Amino acid sequence: MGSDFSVSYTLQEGVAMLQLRGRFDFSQYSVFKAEQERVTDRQDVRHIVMDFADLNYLDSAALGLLLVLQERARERDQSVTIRHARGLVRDILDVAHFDRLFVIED
Amino acid sequence: MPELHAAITPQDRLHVLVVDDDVTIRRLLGSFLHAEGHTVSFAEHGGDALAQFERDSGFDLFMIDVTMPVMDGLALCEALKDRLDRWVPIMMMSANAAESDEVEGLDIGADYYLTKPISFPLLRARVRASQRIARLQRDLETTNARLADYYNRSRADSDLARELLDRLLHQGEEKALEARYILNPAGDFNGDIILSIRSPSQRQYSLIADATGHGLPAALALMPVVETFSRLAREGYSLETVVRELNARLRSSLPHGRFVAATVVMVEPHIQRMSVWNGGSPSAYVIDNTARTIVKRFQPRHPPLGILSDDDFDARTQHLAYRPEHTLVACTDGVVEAEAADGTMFGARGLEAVLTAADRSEDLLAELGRRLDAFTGADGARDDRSVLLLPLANLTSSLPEGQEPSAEPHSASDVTSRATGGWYFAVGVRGNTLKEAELAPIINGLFGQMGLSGEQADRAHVCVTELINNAIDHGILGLDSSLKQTPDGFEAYFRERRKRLRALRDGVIVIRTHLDQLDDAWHLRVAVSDSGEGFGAAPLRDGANRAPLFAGTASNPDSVRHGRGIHLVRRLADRLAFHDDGATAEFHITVTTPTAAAGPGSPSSGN
Repeated sequence: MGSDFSVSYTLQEGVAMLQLRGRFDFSQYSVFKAEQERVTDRQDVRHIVMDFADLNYLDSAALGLLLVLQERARERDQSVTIRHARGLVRDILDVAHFDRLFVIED
Repeated sequence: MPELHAAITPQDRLHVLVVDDDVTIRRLLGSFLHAEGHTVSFAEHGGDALAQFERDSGFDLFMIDVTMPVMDGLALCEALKDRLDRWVPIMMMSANAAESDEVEGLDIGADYYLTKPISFPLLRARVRASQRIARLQRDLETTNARLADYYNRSRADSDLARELLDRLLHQGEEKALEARYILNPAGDFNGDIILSIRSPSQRQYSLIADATGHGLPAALALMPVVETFSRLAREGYSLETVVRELNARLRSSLPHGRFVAATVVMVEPHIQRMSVWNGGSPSAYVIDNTARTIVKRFQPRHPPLGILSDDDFDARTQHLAYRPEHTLVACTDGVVEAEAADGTMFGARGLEAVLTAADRSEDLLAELGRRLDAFTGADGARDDRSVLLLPLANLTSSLPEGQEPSAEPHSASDVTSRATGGWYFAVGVRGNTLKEAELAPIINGLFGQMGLSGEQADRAHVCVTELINNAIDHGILGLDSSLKQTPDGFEAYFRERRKRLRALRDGVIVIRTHLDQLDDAWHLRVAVSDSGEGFGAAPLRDGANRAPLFAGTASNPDSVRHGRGIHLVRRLADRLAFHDDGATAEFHITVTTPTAAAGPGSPSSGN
């Protein structure tokens, strides 16, 4: 339960592409926190794109972590985009009205 | 031999009990063990040894002769094994090889077997092994003790915290809570909360909220919600103000990345109208509990509370003119995201299926609980799961109606001139300030300060609130009540109201209040005047020169200016009169409750 989450990133020309997979919930707090700090702390990162194509679920703690990431990124003048949110994940983002807070692309 | 003791660390010093009826053996082993730096006690037989053990069980090694009087070594070994609550090595000493073989063959559970005469190198090796074991054992005990201590302390702390939170969350909770609800926390602490409060102006404010995460941090995040919501609801603030304050309060108190999803509802039972603000919660529903139909979905229109700055925050609410047979249902995401063993979710569809199921029980909460349990199976709730059920028929106003005074009504000036004491105040708001000002809570707050309480005060609260609403909506904004006749028209009405309020530049509302003491009663007179459209910001005077407020409707001002609020005031007040072509509405209520008669100025009980 919840252990099938993974996050990895690739970096290309100032764009960090975060690939989130599986079930993103409270139990993944430290995994994601460490990774997002690694990414936002890189001087060469200007844009952060989170790819949710392989994400099946996220809970409110995960939404909170996205806000934390965004705040860190803002402090460092990095932009944050969410891409390819589908199905349930998209529903959850919609319910929380995260479209007001993030750039969400298909 | 202290110098030898110094060669061994205190941790490695063993307390050895040597049990032998032969004094030579005792001395021999004693001096050897002393020389090695250990502490030695002696017993002459098993009975003696057991007595010593009962007094002090802290031995690290037993060396026991097999053959002894009173209680032999075998019996002692068995007795010790029974009594030891930890593992302590036992060394059996036999008189010869034959006895040694026999004892080992008995398998009595001793750890080492030595044959006399004792080989000291072998004994030293055995003692060293015992030392290592004793050290491990001590480390383990220390760790265990620390863990147990930590566990107990954290258990005690969390029990205390839970108790504290429970009290805070439920303090001042109304005894006759009209709402029904289930709260089903996933752990020790609940990250969900349901509050329902009736204001003196008879508005029912309800809130169902879900803080990020679970457990103690989530429960703590809800503290500011309880305080802010309760205070503003009791004072009868508009729903927009309530949610705006909640958002500001949470934004300043919550760490980044923490927020509270909430559905906040204000029901005005006397005019059968409800306003809903939903930020990040699953859709709330108004259902017809008899026909099993969904009348309205209040979808999440906003992000959760505590995220947006006040400038970005959108306090706009949704509205519905309901009927008494309707019921409001709102839940937290633990319900729609309840997960079955195969990973499928209950979903909004699952919830709606229960709401509209023709074959379900009349008791919706019980039915929903059953179906959720059946759906998730034994695995149980992973998230806090809460449902608020507000049967709107329960919310009928309990206030008695006003009564035409049996005696011939006193004229206003007559009452004031004959009064033996009293209060007088006037409050006015003009221009831009009308957009934001919350007049009713201010006036009602003053009533409280002046000691008005009880049913008559509650009636006065409703009348003040409704007259002010009426003055703003119809006098200042010139809205047409007939717009509100249909459910769709209702939303249109509020859209139009927002639009006109935004565009508003001029306008005045003045509230003049007299509270006169006369013959053991208090006479409350409140006059609410508005400048009306086209009247501008000029000071209010006698309305003789006023143009008709609404061209073409002057003959029947009631149809335009007066919504249900006015009908309500007509019922609740002892008298209601209009002056200035309807631009001033004035009501009278006579207050005879003992509380008020005891004298305004005493602090309000605040019930």
